[in-house]
Amino acid sequence: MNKRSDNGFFGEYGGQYIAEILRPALKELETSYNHYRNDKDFIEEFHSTLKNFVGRPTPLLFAENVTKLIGGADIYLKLEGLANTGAHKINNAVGQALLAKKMGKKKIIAETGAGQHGVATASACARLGLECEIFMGEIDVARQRPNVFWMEMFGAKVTPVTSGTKTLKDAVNEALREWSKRKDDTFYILGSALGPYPYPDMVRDFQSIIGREVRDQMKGYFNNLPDAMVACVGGGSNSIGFFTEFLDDTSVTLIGVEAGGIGDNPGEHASRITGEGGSTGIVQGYKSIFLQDDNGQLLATHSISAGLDYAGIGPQLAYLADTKRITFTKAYDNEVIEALQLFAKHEGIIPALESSHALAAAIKIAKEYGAGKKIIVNVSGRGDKDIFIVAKALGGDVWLNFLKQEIVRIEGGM
Amino acid sequence: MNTLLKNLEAGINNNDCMLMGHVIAGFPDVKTSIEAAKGICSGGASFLEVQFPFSDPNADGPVIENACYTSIENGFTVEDGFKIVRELSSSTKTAIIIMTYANIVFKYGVQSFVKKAKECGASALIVPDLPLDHDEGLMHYATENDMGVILIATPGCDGKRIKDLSEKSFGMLYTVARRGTTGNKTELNAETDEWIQLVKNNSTKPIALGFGIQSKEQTDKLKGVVPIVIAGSYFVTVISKLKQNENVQSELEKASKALF
Repeated sequence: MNKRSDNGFFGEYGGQYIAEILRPALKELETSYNHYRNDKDFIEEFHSTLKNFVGRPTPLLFAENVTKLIGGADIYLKLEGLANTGAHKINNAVGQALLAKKMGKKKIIAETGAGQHGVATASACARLGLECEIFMGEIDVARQRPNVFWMEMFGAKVTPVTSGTKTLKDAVNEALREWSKRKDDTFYILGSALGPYPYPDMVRDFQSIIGREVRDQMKGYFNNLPDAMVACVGGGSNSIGFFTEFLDDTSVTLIGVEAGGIGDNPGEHASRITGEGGSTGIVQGYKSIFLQDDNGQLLATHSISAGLDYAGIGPQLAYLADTKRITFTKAYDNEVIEALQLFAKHEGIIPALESSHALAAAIKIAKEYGAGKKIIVNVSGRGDKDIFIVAKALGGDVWLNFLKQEIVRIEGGM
Repeated sequence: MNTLLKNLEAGINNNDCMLMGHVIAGFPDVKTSIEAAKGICSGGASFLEVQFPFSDPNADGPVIENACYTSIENGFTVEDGFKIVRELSSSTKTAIIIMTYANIVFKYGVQSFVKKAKECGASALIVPDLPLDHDEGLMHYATENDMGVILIATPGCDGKRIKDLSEKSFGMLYTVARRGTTGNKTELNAETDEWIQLVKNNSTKPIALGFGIQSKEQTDKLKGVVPIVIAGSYFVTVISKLKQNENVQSELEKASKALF
């Protein structure tokens, strides 16, 4: 199977639907990336940074306790959350930041939703000595303060976006606007496997390290291939990075898990493939499946995990959904919280809410497949960042009282 | 003859400095946007962009984006947009240009959109994120329907690209004076001067200059430099500041005349 785009397209999806002002910057990026992705020194520098700064390889863990509890297929977990800054996002941020340096760029701009890509980018920029500005929807700034705090600690400027729905898609719009305003010294680090060509190819390439490590590490547990691999899908960077290595192994069922949110009505979920309201569109520079109304306006989305709360999906994933190479399913908010609790209690890990979607689906799949089969789940991030959301969702006075007392402590200067 | 080409020819022959105005369809509501547009037309605009709002207009600045958002919130549909175009093209002599984003056209069906635009009397189309090599057949269908697509040149284009764009652009070459999005005021300085000169040297068609026009002082400076000036955010701002009980059409007519 051809894993790269053909002239920027994956089947009918992808492309470079951009205003003229961004054309020179994208052409420059295209040329530079296609040069450096084959450059021995660049690849070496990327891998040494992944090893020494990111902390790769991340472990592959046999989830023995949950496997026994469920009594189905063996469940293995790729723990991407143990990478520096807590998620797979750093792989791509480091790759693009290194490329920016090679291209002689001085300033980095990036969008972020929940803040994971923002934190990863700010961290990579701090490490590599690049100026960094992160665009983040005003609503996300308000509800993800801890990530804003760390981005600023890394020296990044965080700019709240007040337009539109004030969330991830608007942050992307604003980053694109800023890119069109700035001169030639600015590089846009896009965090997901979407946007205009060459971003979907580039992000996938930098994230493919996940799947390559899995192929190597699974030999420590078993000799043949897994029966299924499961990953959550927002824009799609963790899933495509996890799946790419196995696309040609057709005996491996690849399963993408979308955000089912709180229900199936428009605005209640972010299920582009498995939900109502998804159809082909051209938005933010690429053609793919988007949640939109009959007039072509993007629909509002909902997910308990900010990282999956986006109306579009990466073009390669849309193509792999069409060709049935990837099967899609979804997990609802409540199932996600249950999966998080189960894996925390029995395996001692704190998966991110995004990744808990994959775990929720994996629980069902493990039962369905039965004993003797093997499933690998990409736990794309860790959930420390979600403490406010999870504690609130689980209710109870303890957390609320803690917050109240914390305010008293801060105001009292104690 | 296509109204845009007719108005363009007349203006060039008279050595006029022509105006291209701009409204957001359905902002603040369908009725007011029609009255406002009529005012801009009677105030002397040779061309008028009617922007069909899109939820994610990332080539536009805050003034136009907020207006689009309001229009969508108030229930704008693409059919409303066509209704507005039909009304304006039948009641004014101004050439009506539909400006929108790729997804609005794509979702409607590119061929159907162009046909409907023609049927409603539009003269041309502007869709910034359907560029030359990714236009989904827009130019083909437009030409088939005795219309055209106006292409946009922006700083960063080299001479060859300007020539290429202008040859394929319909009637005129829409030229953005500086980097960034719509709405910010531009100064006529050495850099913009150099850019405009590069476009003039390479364009095979008359230039319509988008400049963040806000005053007569600015248009005066552009007289003789380019044949067409574009005022977009200026009009949208005037519309957004209209007070209740004001005569929309005469206020916009005044705003239009105030530029010359």
